[in-house]
Amino acid sequence: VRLPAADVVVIGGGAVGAAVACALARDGRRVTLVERRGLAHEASGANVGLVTPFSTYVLDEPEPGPLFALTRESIAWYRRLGEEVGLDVEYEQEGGVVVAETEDELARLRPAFEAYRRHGVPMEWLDPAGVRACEPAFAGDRVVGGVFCAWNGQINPIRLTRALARGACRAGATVRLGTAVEGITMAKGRVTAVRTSAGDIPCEVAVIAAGAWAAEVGAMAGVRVPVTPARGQILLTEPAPRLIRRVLGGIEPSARQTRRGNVIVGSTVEAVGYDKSVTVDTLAAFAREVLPYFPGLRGLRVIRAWAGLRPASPDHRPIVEVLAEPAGLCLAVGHSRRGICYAGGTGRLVAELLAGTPPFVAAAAFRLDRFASGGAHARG
Amino acid sequence: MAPVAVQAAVVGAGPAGMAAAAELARAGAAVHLYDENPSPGRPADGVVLHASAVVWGIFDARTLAVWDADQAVLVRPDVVVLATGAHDRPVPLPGWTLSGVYTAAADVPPGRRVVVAGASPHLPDLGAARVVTTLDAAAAAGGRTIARVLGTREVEGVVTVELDAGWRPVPGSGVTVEADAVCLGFGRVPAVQLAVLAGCEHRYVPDAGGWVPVRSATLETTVPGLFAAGDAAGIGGARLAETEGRLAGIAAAARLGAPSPAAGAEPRLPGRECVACRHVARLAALVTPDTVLCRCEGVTAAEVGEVLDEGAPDLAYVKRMTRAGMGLCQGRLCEAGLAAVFAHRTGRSADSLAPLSVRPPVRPVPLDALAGLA
Repeated sequence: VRLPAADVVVIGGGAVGAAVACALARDGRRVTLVERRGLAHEASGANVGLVTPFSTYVLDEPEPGPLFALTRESIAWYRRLGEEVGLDVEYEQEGGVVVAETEDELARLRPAFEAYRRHGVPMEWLDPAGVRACEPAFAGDRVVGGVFCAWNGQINPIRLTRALARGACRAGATVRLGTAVEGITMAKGRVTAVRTSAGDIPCEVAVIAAGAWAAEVGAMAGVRVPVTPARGQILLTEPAPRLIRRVLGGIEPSARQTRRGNVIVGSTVEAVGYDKSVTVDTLAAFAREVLPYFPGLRGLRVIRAWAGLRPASPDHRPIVEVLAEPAGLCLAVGHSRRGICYAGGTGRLVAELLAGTPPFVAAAAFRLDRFASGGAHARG
Repeated sequence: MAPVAVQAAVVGAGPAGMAAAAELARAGAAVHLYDENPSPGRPADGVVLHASAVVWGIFDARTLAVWDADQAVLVRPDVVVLATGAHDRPVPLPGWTLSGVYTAAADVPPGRRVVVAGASPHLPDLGAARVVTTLDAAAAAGGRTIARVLGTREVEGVVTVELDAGWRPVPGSGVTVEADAVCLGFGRVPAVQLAVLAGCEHRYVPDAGGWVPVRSATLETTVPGLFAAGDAAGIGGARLAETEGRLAGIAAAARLGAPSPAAGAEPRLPGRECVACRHVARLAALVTPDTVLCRCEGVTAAEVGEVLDEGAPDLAYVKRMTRAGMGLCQGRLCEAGLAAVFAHRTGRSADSLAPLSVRPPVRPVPLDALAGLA
């Protein structure tokens, strides 16, 4: 079967794929997004939903750089997205605190704090009393201080993905759920079509946004994509009156309270292949570790626990690139634990790379060939 | 925490579970019987009864996570009999969430004028004095049911509608009846959550009430050492449940190398037949956009319809996008109704719709109890 041709086929219906599809469709391209299951079926549907330009991840990038730029772009988009498409994504930018439990941790936050503030991010340095004032429900006895970032916030990642896909459809894209990619057809070193369970889709460009399955889809085009699945488990409590006001970083597990009042606790990062089981040990550990931080959660009942597979790259940074070989193949993969922070920015970046306009971010940081030399990507 | 090893565990102390536990004990097995009710009745001699004990999860095929007497424990039996029974079949109708709509006769307060609706033999028995009218969808001729429950907060009446032989509403047959309570009885749905969580293969059997575990002749599921008996494996009523419980108990004992005195004289099993199960999904035609499909999360048919229009591939997707089935009841009060609406709107057959995935805990468990596990 031959399906209608597209300029671009986006493979994967997570937040990243949906953002890419939306950005490209709004650029006037004919876009078809194909998703094997449903939107947000994997990592986008099994994460805590933090959108945090300042988190412990900044320790990898103490001077605001490409990762910060991706997140800032995402935030700008998420703020207006709900209104654009008529779907509330439950984005709350109430600010958040990154806490430190040792003087050493606190000292490591300092340079990043200074640098981010220099870049105009509204931040405050907090002593333990400041942390408590910021988040009265938090009772970390060991906390020696922290950083408040007014731009940190939380979102409903499932509604975000759905809103991005809706935005893509409104801009003329076709979204095919329940459609599995079976192959990528190439001729003379160029992508010419994506073969799916519903038929072939002739196209100029294929964007791989297949999350934890990126390596498998990359192999269809003869490209080695160093992305492996990392299981993330989370649990959810029954709805409760507002207790946790802001998002907290620097503690594991983290906890946030949804608009509906449910408390989400998570998550893990486990290299266990494609096994999505929830383990009783992890549930017990979450409960044991979160209660001392938030004693007010005592008595609250857990109603659900589940797991999703994150797309882990060797350095936990995304791989976003329009490859020279084969021509017409684009990667938007490897977002690791930070896909919700980076999805919106990734959408814009892919659109700019394909349009050949200067990208808003130093795109070299996300190239695949950064793994080419040395054994840095041996991690399982 | 290392699980406590036990020989045999039976989950559910209804007719099937009681019988299974009795047979296991008779064969000399050390058997623990778990039931979430505080006083489930007296089991046979030799059975250790855990009342108010909630089995909220099953891990690694056979490890039971139990919340027992305010303590969380893990139990690893050599054999398990799941006899978790069934729950009321939810049939979403416009107005069914109004105050004054019941599914159990015992819950209806005295002095109300009641409309009874459902399908024989599942119709609730309230005694003639209080019943304004009884609407039997399964009546041999001229079946009727409720098309809409009237009222703003409380039940003020119902609009009834005629059904054809296949339970399709007959247009123009509406009649308004005054009442101040409604009692619904459309049968029951097997409680298969633990079996699904354990990884047992299931199949859709309309005459058994929907999705049920695939079982061998000795009632063993596709997970070795895990047996299922009674309504939990297909609606069949108390007598069949007891027979199945005995059979499963005898087979489980044999699995332990403790042949039951009853081995070789196993009872024969009659077939199951549930008329309501075969047709009840057609009542989804009565659902209106404002009909609430998921009570816990307040999700309406309009919201579900929007996701269906977006190309929802399966029921799990509807759940993820709308939160229907994500509430405290874990879908027990809405899954069958959601499936019916999905099938009706998309033209898909019920057996092509995979059931909602089951997430632990299958019953809510306090964080503190979980923390105690470690």
